Amino acid sequence: MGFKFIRITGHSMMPRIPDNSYVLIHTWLKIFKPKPGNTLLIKHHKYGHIIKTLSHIDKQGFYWVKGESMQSVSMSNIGPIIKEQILGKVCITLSANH
Amino acid sequence: MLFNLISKLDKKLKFSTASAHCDIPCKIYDPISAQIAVLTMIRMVDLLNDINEKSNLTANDQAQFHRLLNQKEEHGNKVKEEIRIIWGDYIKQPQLEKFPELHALTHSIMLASSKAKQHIDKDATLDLLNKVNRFAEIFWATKGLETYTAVCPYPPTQTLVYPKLN
Repeated sequence: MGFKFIRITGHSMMPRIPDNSYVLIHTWLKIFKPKPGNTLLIKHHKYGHIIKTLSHIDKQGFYWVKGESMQSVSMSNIGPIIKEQILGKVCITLSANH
Repeated sequence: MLFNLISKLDKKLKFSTASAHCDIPCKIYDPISAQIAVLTMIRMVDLLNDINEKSNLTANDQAQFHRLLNQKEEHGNKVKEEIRIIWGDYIKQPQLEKFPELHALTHSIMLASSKAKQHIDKDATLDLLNKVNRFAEIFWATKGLETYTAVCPYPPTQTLVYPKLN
């Protein structure tokens, strides 16, 4: 169906996506292309499966992503992301506070 | 409600996880270090009082007195440091909304720790323990864990708040 729930661990997307919340992601990225501000599920060579917010797409077509809290690993440490590393886009967030 | 439903589904279906990765080794927070530091302070006060009851102090007694006093001071600072780290790095708006007393409680722990350092006063250290235990209770509640109280099986045999981890 192209949808799946994923549990989020960590604080870097606080306060919007708290630790131990769930996100519903879709994988229809050819139809709904990632845009700045979208929250993406990414397969990172160093950090594994991470969830970050798309900051911008540079002229070379690399995707640059960032966390939303001060604790997040920096955009430069995450490095450039290629399209194939983007596994899905968050459409719904569910946390214990909601 | 929907969160609870998804949470139950997760327990059955085991969803995959993704990390909201942090730059520091975060999430390793536990108030037990602060609780043990207070227990050490209480123990030091007990031992200092034992020496205080002696009519004549030998050089060894005096050396021991200083040593115990230094440890009490050191662990008073440790209580402050451990609580400040949890308060400053872990506690955020969602926890503050659930437990509005956290700022005042943290500040009162700083003051109580100073008081416990300034005197050889068991009541002051017990008051500090009460506050740190309350902090621990709140901390584990923010993790969704229930707590229980038990007397630690070593001196100074005081009551601590522990998380139910089963």
